[in-house]
Amino acid sequence: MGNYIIKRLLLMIPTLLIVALAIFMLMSLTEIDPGRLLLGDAASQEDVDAKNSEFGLDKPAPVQFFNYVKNIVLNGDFGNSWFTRKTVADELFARIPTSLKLATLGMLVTLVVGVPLGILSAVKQYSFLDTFSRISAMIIAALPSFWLGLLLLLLFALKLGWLPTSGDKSFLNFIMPMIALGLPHAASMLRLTRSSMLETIRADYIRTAMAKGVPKGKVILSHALRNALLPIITQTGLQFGAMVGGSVVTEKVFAMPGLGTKLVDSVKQCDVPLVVGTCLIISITYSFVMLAVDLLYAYVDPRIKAKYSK
Amino acid sequence: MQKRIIVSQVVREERTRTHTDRKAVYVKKERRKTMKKLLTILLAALMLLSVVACSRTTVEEAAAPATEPHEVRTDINLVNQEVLVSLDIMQTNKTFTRSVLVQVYEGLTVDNEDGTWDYLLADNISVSDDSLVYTVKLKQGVIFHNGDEMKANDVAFSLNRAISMPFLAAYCGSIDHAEVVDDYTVTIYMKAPYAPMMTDLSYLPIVNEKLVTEAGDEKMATEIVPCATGPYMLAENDETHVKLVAHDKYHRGAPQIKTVNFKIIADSSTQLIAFEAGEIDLLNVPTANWASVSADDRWNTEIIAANHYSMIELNLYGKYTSNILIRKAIAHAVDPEGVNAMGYDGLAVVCNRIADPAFVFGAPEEGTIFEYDPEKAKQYLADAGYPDGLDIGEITVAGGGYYEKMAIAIQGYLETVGIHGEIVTYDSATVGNKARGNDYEILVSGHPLTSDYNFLREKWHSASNSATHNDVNDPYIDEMFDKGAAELNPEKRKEIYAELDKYLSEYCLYPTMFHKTMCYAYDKNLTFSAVPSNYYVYNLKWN
Repeated sequence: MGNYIIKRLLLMIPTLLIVALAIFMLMSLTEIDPGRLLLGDAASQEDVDAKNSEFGLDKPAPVQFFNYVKNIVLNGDFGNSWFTRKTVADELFARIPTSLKLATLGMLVTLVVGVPLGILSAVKQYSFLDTFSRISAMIIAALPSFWLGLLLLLLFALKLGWLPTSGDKSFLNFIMPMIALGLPHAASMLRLTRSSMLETIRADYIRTAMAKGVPKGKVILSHALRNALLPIITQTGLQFGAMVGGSVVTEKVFAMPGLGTKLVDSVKQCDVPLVVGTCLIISITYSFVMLAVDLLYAYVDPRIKAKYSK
Repeated sequence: MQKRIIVSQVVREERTRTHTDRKAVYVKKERRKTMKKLLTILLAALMLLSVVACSRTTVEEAAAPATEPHEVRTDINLVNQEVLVSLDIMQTNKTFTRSVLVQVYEGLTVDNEDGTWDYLLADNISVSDDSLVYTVKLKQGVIFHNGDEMKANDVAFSLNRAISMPFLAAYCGSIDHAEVVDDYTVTIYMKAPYAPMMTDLSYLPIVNEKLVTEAGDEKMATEIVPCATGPYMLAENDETHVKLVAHDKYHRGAPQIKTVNFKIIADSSTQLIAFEAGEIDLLNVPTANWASVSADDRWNTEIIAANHYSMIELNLYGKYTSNILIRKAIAHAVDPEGVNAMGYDGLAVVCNRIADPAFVFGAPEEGTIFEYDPEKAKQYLADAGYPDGLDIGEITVAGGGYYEKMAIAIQGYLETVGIHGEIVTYDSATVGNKARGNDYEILVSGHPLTSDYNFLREKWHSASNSATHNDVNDPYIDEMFDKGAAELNPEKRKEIYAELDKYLSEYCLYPTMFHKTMCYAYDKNLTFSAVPSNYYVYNLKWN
């Protein structure tokens, strides 16, 4: 198992290099002039050229990339934002906690709503509850995030005055964003859990367990759910990764300073160090989440653990 | 016999099957009915939620009305659209960063945004006969945020620093350098006479030499350095808010409002909800919501034309727009009233010329106007050799803002006279590149104004670097702008600009549509007077 983890961690290095290279190449294809964008229209061309040279843009793209990687490897330096002059690390560390909190709480909503309802739907297939859950899931999945967010704002912030509209200082600030972010994902989680559970509860070993007189609850939770968990874990990992860097709309609506918004803003400004830094952070998060998913597989399914041990 | 038994079994099975089928069909039907009911209930619940959420009555209605006795507040909550890019006003030209930092930094003068200016940190400024030397007598007793007194060395240092900052190139182009004469006197040496100097000095902030030298540019941009003289000091700055506190030793008297909280909220709908929920005291309301907000007596509202113009830019080197007849056809084909209605919900102030005398010194009261006249447009088009119309290609516009809506209206007007164009949206940086590279035919855009006609220099003068600079390269235009900038007699300047304006109009490169407006809504207990661009919190008062 230890070897497997080390192997996976080592594999992250080429992955991150490829991500950084891809972003560099894409950014170098844009026609945007960062120096001009930063200094404004009134600045002389000499000043603009000097600024671009300060950014290292006077060198060929491969050299820029090499220098960038060299700085990270030798000095642990991701560079400075071209626009704010803050270090990329400072810029991102100011936002990572908010993004992680938002993604974790959003994921919590997804799991708390999606998984139990999915299990109940499967166990009580074609019942009122099943129908209700499926229809609710369909409707919630169809709601655009920003619309759901605004609706929540109108109701809980304006109408009832219970929650603040924006910010990230207290748990109260996160209640509406986590619902707006987690609920649409809960819908797909519900459907996935239901179909996965349906597949499992029809298996012979479940029927055998039932026939042996094992209590139904235990059969469902200990036997059926455990075997149905693999796709749910995968989905959880993917959704969590997507929530960390991709909840731009939720972040915008609730004015939460997350990584997604930072990424979009820095792309607009062609702030290459910040774009690459943000993408790398998101990639690292993804990689770790997927590693955790794989390790959870082993925990849930001993057959996989045995495979890793080989 | 056996056959009969088999038949009866088959019949029984058939009956059972039919019964089962019927039962299944019945169950299916029931299920479908239940589903329908559920769907109806869910949708009704969703609609109810939407209606409840969107209804206008709020818990805030229970809040005390303005007329009731109340404690006078000493704090104010405002909103800013973006995180501050820099904490040093000399190192940024981002509008939303500047709108916060103008509360902190001050210049020698203040621009009144109506073509006039007043002294601020200067007590008096005298100009030499050749207009090349400005002698500045400083106001005494001005205290920096760190408690030091402002002296001439700080002013000279600040002006020389400003000259070296490319961000401020628009305001320092004519200044050569500044020198200290005594503790309260500074001399500014000019490269050439420059009439709008007094207004431009308002954009050059005065900072504490010692602190800024110690801090260096990077720390100035990223950390709070108490180096300015303004009524408010930066206290906190992060990704969600900026907090300013009153500078109690401010030279014009301590501000009444002691704490200013700028919340960072990018989304305009969220801004409005935050305002309606009472989290924000003053808001520039999105035009789409203005009708409902201004009709609501829970707030005071005020609308004012902004120092900004929105226009069509026609490329002098375009495939079609290089032809003056086509440019005139376009100018006459578009009705600014209609573009205002579509692009700015009818709230903008329609105008036919870039420089409005209400804001801009030297802008002529009269001049060539391209009135909306589709027949004339068609005639110009026919004269240009396109009696059956033409396909002009791309109508370039930056996506996301109201320019896009303007472009739709413009496209419609052009279509009616036979000019077909396809709207293509880009991000604003790419639009800037296209403008700078003359890579467009029609570009829908806008630009902020300054309060002197000289600001048009950046669009027309051959030495301009502006993104929207049209390379006219007309020596007469260069000469007139230079002459206007050098002429210190206001009346003579106006004459120069009147003549120049007439000449520029003939090029028909920038058919102007409207000045956008600032639509303010604010707390009933707040005294606020709207201004065309940045408002100063110092001038706000709680009743």
